[in-house]
This record gives sequence, C-alpha cells and structure tokens, in this order.
Amino acid sequence: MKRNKVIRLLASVATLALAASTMVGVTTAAAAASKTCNLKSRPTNAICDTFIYASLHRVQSLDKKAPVSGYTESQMTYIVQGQLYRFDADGQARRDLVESESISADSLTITQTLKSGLKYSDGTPVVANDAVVSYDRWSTSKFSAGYIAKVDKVVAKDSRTLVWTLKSPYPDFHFAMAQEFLGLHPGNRVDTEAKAKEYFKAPVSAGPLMVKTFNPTGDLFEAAANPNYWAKPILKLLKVVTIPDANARLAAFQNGSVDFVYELPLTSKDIKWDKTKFRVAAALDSGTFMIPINMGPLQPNKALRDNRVRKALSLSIDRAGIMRNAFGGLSKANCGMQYNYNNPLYLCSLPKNGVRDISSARKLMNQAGYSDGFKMKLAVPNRVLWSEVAVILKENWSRIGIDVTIDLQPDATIGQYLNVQRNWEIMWFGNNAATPLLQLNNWFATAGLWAGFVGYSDPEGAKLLDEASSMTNRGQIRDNLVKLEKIAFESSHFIPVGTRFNIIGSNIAANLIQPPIPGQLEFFVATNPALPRD
Amino acid sequence: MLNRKGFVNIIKSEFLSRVLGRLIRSIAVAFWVMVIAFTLMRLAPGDPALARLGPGAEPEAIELLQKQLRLDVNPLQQFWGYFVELLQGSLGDSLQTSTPVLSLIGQTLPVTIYLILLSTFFALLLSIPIGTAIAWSGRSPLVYGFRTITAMLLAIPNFFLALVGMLFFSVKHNWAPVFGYNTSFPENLRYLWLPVLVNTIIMTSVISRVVFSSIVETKREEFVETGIIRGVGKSRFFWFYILKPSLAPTVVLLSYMMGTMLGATVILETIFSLPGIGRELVTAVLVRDYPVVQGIVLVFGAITVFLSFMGDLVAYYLDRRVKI
Repeated sequence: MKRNKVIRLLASVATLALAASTMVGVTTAAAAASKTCNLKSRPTNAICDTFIYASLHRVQSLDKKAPVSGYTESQMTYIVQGQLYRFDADGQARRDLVESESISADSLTITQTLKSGLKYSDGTPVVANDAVVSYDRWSTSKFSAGYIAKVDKVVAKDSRTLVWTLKSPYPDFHFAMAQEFLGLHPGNRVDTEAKAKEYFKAPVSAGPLMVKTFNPTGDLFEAAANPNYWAKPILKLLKVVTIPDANARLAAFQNGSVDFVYELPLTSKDIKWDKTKFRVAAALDSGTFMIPINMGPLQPNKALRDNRVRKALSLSIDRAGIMRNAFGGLSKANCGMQYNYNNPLYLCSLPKNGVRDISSARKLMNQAGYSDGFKMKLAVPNRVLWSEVAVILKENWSRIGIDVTIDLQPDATIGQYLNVQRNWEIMWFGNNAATPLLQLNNWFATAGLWAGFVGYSDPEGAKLLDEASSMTNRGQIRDNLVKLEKIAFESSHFIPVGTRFNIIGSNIAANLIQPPIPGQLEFFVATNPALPRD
Repeated sequence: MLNRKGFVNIIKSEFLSRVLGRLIRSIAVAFWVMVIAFTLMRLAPGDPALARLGPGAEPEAIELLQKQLRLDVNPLQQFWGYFVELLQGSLGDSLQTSTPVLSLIGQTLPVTIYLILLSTFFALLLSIPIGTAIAWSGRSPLVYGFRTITAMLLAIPNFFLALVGMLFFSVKHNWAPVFGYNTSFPENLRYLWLPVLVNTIIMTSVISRVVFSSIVETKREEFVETGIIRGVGKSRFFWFYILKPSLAPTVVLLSYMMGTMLGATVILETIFSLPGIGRELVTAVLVRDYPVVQGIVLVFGAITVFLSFMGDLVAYYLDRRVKI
C-alpha cells in the first residue's frame, strides 16, 4: 500500500514537472524584430540591424533558370546577385554595376563600362565576361526571352567593357538589364549546367546582400550585407521566414514578430492600425487582371470562337463591381488593356470606358445567334480571392444567358491546361510585366507568353507593337497603341478587368526595404550611396 | 490429458500465431496504401514538371525536365522503378528540391510526433480522470453538463480554436510565438505548447466521452456486482474491476486517433508554421511532388497500421475479451 502511494506521488510530481516545462518561454514568445529602423527612417540615415520578412513561400532555389517555388524565391535571388541594372524602390531601372554607358547614334550599339574594383562576396573579381555568360544562360533558358528578343549579341571587349548589339532600337533595354534573369555570377562556375547546379547551392554575390543561410527544405532564409558591394546597404541582416497561413502572417505582423508581410488577408484593411508603428497599403502592381479565351484549334466551345460573343462577354462584366466586392476596392477597374499605375501610356480603349453595357452585350449575342445563351467552363487558379471573382463573373454572365461552370484548380493544373491539354475554354488570370510595352508584348507579340497560351497573335497588332517597341517618341508610341487596343477589343480574346495589387504591411518607411513598386519579382534594399538617378 | 502448462503453451502459440498473422496483414495494408497513393497521384491532373517550371515554360523545357525526372515512361514502369528503390531502402528524391525523401521525412516527422505525443499525453491526463469521475458520480446534472460541453468542443473546428488561441495568446498577450520552431528539446516546447493545447482540447472531448461511456457500460457488468458482493478492496475494485476493462476501447480509439492525427495536424502545422510532415505532404501534393507524397503516405500507412496493432495488443492486455 505504502509502495503504491509512493509510486502515485512520484507519478504526480513527474507529470507536474513535465507540464511546467511546456510553459518554458511562455512569457517571452515574440522574436525581436529590428527596432533601429522604423516608419520615420530615411535611406540617408537608416541603419537596420535585422529585417524579418514573412513570406508565403519557401526560398528553394537561387538560380533563375531553375525556379522551384513562388515570387519570394525570385525576390531573394535578385537581392543576392549582381545586376548590371537594378530596380529601385519605384520600379525604375538604375545603373548598378555599370559605371557608364554610351549608345550609338543609330541606337543599335550600347557600350557599358563596369565599375572598377568590383568583387563578389568571396573576393573573386567581377568581370564583363560574367555578364556574357549570364546572357547566354538567359537566352537559352526560354524564360521570358521576349525581354531580350531585340538583342542580337553581347561581347566582352575587355574585363570591364560590354558591347551590346541590338536588332532594332530598344527603349526598354534597361528594363531588360534590370531583370532577375540577368544576374551576374562568376562565369567559370556557371558556364555548364552541371557546374551551375552545384554552384547555386551556395552562390556568391555581387549584390547588396549575400547568402548567409540557405536550406531549400527549411522555413528560414538569411542574407547578410555584402562587404564587397560598391555601396553600403542600410540593412545588416535580412531574414525570410515562411508563414504559409495568411492569418498567421497577419498575427505575426501585429505582434511585432515580423517587419514586413506580403499578401496580407483582405480583412487586414479593416483593422485600425497604429499609424505610428505600422504601414499597411494596397501595393498596386504592373499587371492586369484579365480573362483570356482559348483561340487554339482545341477550343471546345464553338460560341467562344465568335468575336461577337467575346465582345459581349467583355461588355457584360461589372469591372467596378469585381474590384469592389472581390478585392475590397483596393485597386481600380480598367478601361483599357494595360495596368493603370504609374503608366504614362495607359489608354481607355474599352467602349464606355469599360462600364457595363448589358443591352449592347445582348445585341451582340443575338447577332451571333446565341440569344438563348450557352454553357461555358471558366478555369480559375485557386489563389486568394480569385474564387470570389469567379462567382461574380458567373452572375455577370448569367445576365446574358451564359451558364458558367467554375473550374477551380491549383496552379499546376492550370499550367497543364495552358501548356499541354490546350482544350480549356476561358480563364481568369493576370498578366504582369515591368513596362507597359512588355506587358502588351506578352499578349500580342508573335512570341508573346500569353499569345502562345491562347494560340493566336493578330499579325497587324504584332506589327504595331513591334514598331512601338523601337520608338522613342511617346506620341508615336501612343498612336500605335491606340490602334493596337482597338484591334484588341475587336478580337476580345483578352478581356481586361482591373489592375493587380497586393496588400503589404511594413513597420519601416517606404523606399527602404521592399519589393519594388510596381512589380513583385525583385527586391530592393536602400544603400548609401543610392543607385544613381541618371 | 492436457495439463496447465500445456494449456498455457497452446494459448501462447495461438497468441503468437495471431500476432504474426496480424503483422503480415499490416505489411500488406501498408503496401496497398503505397499503391493507392502512387495511383491517385498519377490520376490527379497537373504535371510535376510544369508545376516546377511554371506556366510560362516552353513545351521543350517541360519535356526535358520530364525526361530528367523519369516521368516520360509509363506508370507501371515508374511504379516498378519506385518499388525496386524501396526494397533498396530508398524513397527517391524530391522532384522539387532533389532532396532525398527519407531525409525530408527525417526532418519533418519528429515535429509532428512531438505534437501528437504531447497532445495525447495531456489528453489522457485530463480525459481519464474527468470521464471516470463523471461516470462514477452518475449525477444527472453533471452528466448532462459534461455531454453538452464536450459536444460543443467537438463541434468547434480545430483551425478556429487555433486562430482564436493565436489571437489571444500571441497577438494580445505575446505569450506564444506565432511562427518558427527549434528542433532541440526543450526549446521546441515553446513553439509547441499552443498547438498542443488546441489538440488536447479536442482530443480530451473525444476521449473523455469514450471513457465515460465505457465505465458506465462496465459498471453494469455482472463481474462488477460480483466484486461488490465479494467485498473487494476499494482501490483494487476500482482499478481491476472498473478502470482496466473500461480502458480497452479508449486505447483502441487512441491508437486510431494518433494514426489519423498524422494527417490531421496539417491544419495546425500550417497555421503555426510548424515544419511538420503534414504540412510537407500538402505542399508536395500541390506541386505534384510524387516521390515525397508517396513516401509520406507510405510512412503514414506504416505508422497507422503499427499504432493500430499496438493499440489492439494493449487492449488485449487490459481486457482479454478483446480479439486481436
């Protein structure tokens, strides 16, 4: 009996001890985010110790030619690699490793001189040939090759001089230079794919930050200030932590565990934030939400082959309603094809500025012989808020007799629809690019990304766009784009809806550390001196 | 004539043969789980090469990657290749990161095991006394209150509890971290205590009800009345006549719950950003990372089958009426 009592007592004590041990650290839960940078900091005087970025995705690859996960990986790849040109906080391409540049009179030859004394983070000199190797890798990778379609060749004249030869004048050349695909790495370590695969497990950096911790299967990525960079970054250590749940990201931001969050949930806009500590904003993007329609031979829906039906679809959607109800009014409805943010070439090309016109839509449906409507399958990637859009579109199109079945799928399946099966009918998606012309390129150029997906490119439209891409006079460019967007509406195989955006949260001032606005595939860290504004 | 020793030997050998038979059936079940996982992944729409390269990839690039990942051969050949590798102790490499699947499982499984074991421990600690006390007292208001509260807790989804817990403990009071994990013990407890609390609440609701029902059933048995008549001592009566036979259903349920929790913890792992195996599985499914999905589902199957087997063994020990 006594023995049993002793055993019971010991068991109780052990249990209580274990219970107590689980409370270890209860009172000291939050990781301390940096407090040396705040909303009042300026690039000229900020020194941030640690900056913690809460991301949706893991960073699983630092090679743009072998991406694995989402945009966070692109952003981190960007900030830890050398760039000839680099996007600043406003999304403008600025000289980075290029000291000076001269352009020939015919605008077909561009000579760049690299800064002297450039070194990677491990002390290896940066040489011009590294850019040639990077260009070769990009041009053979088939990733967004449209950006460098106008480049004929590049040669390294000496260790600091690059000579670019263009097929035709290319005003967006610097935007191409600033793309993450043209990251500089030691040429002799990435000139074969086998070497590159090994190298990118622990790459060196000619960018403002360098890799400190990189584990493709882990939730933490760290990048430290690169002591060999030509300027001094304002940040000592960048930590990217993966928090897949949007509400958990919001909670982490609210309790100060993280400094920056991308893709906050829509509900965060309704929270009464302390504006002395938090900055929450809808960051507009250089992209357009749009509805592409399959124009290829495997389009199963006969009705959608008729441009009158496609125009009716465009006229009958409530763009303002979609942006208001699905996206909380955080961005604008479009009245033309291009993104409507910091875009001097933006045009209102849609009839009635894109406002809904059911009666005109019904007339077109009658003319096309579909007065009773038809059935249609709308494919939608299952991203945040996109299923809400699908429901609104379904209701909108029901007003002209179209019975929509929503086909909600993960990105991998949508990719299969676009690349392999090619028998999809109509889809909800987005089209992003660094400049308006590059965005239109995706849609209307012969080798454009989306032109390829839908299986159609109007020859006249492609010609207008190609001409515009080589022009420098804004008035002339606009004239071409007016004609192009008219063709676009007549065909309506891409129906624009609104400008893309993301809700971001930060506890430091803008223009210090963030993805550049517009755009999301790159990342920006302010430096002293700053990137030169030419 | 069969003597006592011979009788015991017969029982033992019958028991052993049943255990062996059960073991063989368990291996067969695990094998079929693997076949089903393999088949379902290939039937699901979506291509791993596309998922990796993104929708902007050219068809030639997709074909090349498919060749490199051996996705261009027919599924039967893929299965045979996978099975041969399995017999050699390999679960293949992740299509996304080229990391060996065994290594991925080795990193992520301990997190989930900690979560499950701690939740189970505390759930048992709470449910057995609660269920027993309520069943023993038999007082209607108490029973009614117990049933109502446990029903309410069962109806609340675990993600809701998790988010409310996060709001209260992490955001409002900063008592629990929102994200992160430390693999060393006991530092990891700091990150686990809140998800364990959520799991424990839900498990306690289930287990205490089973304990309660079980004890109420047991109290009605004839041997209990016999025990009372024979005047068996209080503690012996309670343990051997009431609790021990009543725990058998609880143990069987527990082994089943622990098996299903392997997958069910994905919600908590996602909300609390724990690098556990459930979250890894969901990520792998979404990007069509076949080897990771197959490997994890195989491990799930093996663990679930093993736990179910152990649960039945323990139940048999507690109550010889239970059949293995």
